[in-house]
This record gives sequence, C-alpha cells and structure tokens, in this order.
Amino acid sequence: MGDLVERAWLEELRADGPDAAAAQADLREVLRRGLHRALRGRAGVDEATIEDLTQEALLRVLDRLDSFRGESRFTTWAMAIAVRLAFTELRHARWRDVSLEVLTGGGGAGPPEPVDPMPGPEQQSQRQAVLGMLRRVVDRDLTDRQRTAIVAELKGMPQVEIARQLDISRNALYKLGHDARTKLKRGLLAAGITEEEVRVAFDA
Amino acid sequence: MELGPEQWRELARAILATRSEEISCDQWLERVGAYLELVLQGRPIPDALRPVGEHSASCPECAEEFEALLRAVRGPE
Repeated sequence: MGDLVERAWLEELRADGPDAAAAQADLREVLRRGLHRALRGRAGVDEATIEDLTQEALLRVLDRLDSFRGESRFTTWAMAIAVRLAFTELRHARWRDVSLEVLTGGGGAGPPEPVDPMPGPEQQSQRQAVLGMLRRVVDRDLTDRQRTAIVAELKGMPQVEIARQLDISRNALYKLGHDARTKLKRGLLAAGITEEEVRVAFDA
Repeated sequence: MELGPEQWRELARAILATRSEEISCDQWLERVGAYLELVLQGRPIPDALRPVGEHSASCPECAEEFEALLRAVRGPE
C-alpha cells in the first residue's frame, strides 16, 4: 500500500464521517487475516475466537490511532497491537486459575539437576559447580518477589498472569525480572564464574 | 518445588542475554513494527532499533509475538 493511500486511509479512520465505516471494515479484515496467520496451529483457537480477538483488536487500534508515529507501515503497527492483544488474552485465559503461590511453592529454587549427561567426570564436576553456585545466588541474592517472578516465568506462567497476581503492571514485572537477572549475572561473576563457563555448563 | 534441567538452561540463557539497559515490553511493542519491516526487507538494523532484538533474546513472550507478527505480516493465508 502506498504512502498516499495509507495516509488517506488513516484520515478516514480518524474522521467520523461516512467513509469511516468502510475504512474500519477494511482494517478489520486486515487484522482478521493477520491474526489467522499469527495464530495458525495454536491449540484452542477457533474461528469464533479469532473473530472475538479481531473485534477487540480493532477497538484497541482505533483507540490508539493518535499514537501512530509513522515509523512503520500503519498495517504493521496495527498488527503488532493485535498480536499483543491476542497473545495476552490467550495466555491469561489459560493460566488465570493457576495460583502463583502453588506454582512457585515459596522458598528457594530447589536442588539443581544435572542439565544433561556429559562424558568425563571433570566436566560433570564443572557443571555441578556452576549449577550449585547459580542455585546459591538465586537463593541468596534475590528478593522473595524476584524469585517468585523468575521461577513462575520459567515454569511457563505468562507475564500478564504473574503481574496480575503480584498486583503490578507488566512493565513493572519486566523490571523486576531484569533486576533479578542482573543480580544473578553479577553474583556469578563475583564468584569467579565466567559467561563462557555458564555457556558450556548449560549448553546455552 | 524444583526447576528442571531445561528451566535451568533457560535461566542461564536469560542471564547471558541480560544487558544493563533494556527496553520494556511496551517499549518493544512501540518499535517492533519498524524493526520487523527492516528484517523483512533484509536491511541492516540501526543502533536505535537494536534494543528490539536484544529484548526478544531475554523475553520469550515478546520473542513468540515477534514470530507470530512475522507470520501475520508476511502472508498469504
């Protein structure tokens, strides 16, 4: 779609005139097709779900029209909003009845497990040393909240649900996680464990 | 409550990918459109948009959404 056509489309969407309905219908179809492709093969997603998500996405995009800055195509920008909305809704629906406390069980991260069987007792011992230090740093350096957030995310709970149960925003949760990862990185380096040793120990 | 081997590996990867300055998921959403179009066009990513790719390396959910957005934008059905 050319720039001029896109600009005209945006003006029709912003205006409340007779062309707005047609412009919205076009946008709706773009979002519907895009969500179809984005969610293809995802369990539990049928046509009705896609229709519902499309309608919510349309309303969200229309609500945010004024924040479009033209750094990408309008359809790309709108599709990113639609995908974020869809995944947030689907993740929340799947996890809303799972208790954060039950999932994480409180306390520490548990004893480290061997990552994979590896040849050579020296390599095994090196792995156990890195694993053991990582576990100590998780238990020693993280706050309860940071540990809960990290463990819950590792166990698959989506951020939207962790944030809801911790009563914080998703952005605040991301910062919580970032602070936790930064502490773990510093803790390992302070213990003399290099990034390369971590990479080798976990095949990361 | 324990973490399994794959979870420890995922934590290790996340730690290795951690940078001192990272953008949030909302900031990623604001910029991912521009980033994605450059990826689709095979063009180099400017410094201003590098945090978008870096964020995906340490945020599995945004990484998942990026792959979905690629499918959504590429087409056809």
